[in-house]
Amino acid sequence: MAGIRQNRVIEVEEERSEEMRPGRISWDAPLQDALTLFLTSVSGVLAVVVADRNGLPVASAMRDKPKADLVAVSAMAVLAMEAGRSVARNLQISAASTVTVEGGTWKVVVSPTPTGLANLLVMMEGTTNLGLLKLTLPRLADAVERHLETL
Amino acid sequence: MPTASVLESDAGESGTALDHLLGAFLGAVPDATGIVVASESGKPIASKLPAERIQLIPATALAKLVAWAGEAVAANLQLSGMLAVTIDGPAWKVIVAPTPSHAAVVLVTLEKPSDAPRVQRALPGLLRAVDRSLGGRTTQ
Repeated sequence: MAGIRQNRVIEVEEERSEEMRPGRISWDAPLQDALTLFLTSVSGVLAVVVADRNGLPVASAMRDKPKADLVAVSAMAVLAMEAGRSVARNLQISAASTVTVEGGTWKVVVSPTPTGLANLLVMMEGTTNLGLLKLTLPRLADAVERHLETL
Repeated sequence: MPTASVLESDAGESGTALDHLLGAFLGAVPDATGIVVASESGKPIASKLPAERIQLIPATALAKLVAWAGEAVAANLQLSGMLAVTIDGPAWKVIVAPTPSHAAVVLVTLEKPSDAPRVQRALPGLLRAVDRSLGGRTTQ
């Protein structure tokens, strides 16, 4: 009898620890959880920020303590995205989908959500798997848009 | 709206040298469909672009703004050494890169999929050469 009870305790603890794992959070989870899921899903991503269409930060998740002025970062990133769109328009090419700021060992990708309700900023190491990022970023963009529409 | 050829002739001798540099770059990078050099203030100095209805002056002014905003993003994230900003579209990309002295900004238009390593090899040399070509010239 005691053995059966002990086994059930272990099962419950396993279930709880499964729930605690970041991989169990779905994209439908609240905005902060969706950002955390993205941060943990793509290795090399250091920070992700959601900015509204005016460039104001709405939510963010970072691996380390924030050292950045997020208001200034998101404002400048949205400006870069808007100016990038205008460059494309004036070169008579189709709409721009992302803007990537690149340094020797880092990259910052700015990408609008599907309807342009918000912009995502992803700061990453230069070695980040861009293929995985390109697969995951649209899902995050959809999730962010769903969350913002409910506000 | 001035065309690229008019602007090139306005640029004088350094414009001719730049024209040669741009031609050599396009020869070395077949995926590149066009290239423009803009001054520190965002005015076009030289270009080689397909003959389409391109609004060159607004494009270079906004490209200068893109480069400035990219540097501001990096500075506010305490990241140093911004090399370039890439604008991606469905079937194209535009690389906006300041020269090492920041005397000019170079725009390269590319078709996708492009040979990224080839572009990355050729671009730093072009940026240095543009700087040398503009050496001593007052940027507008």
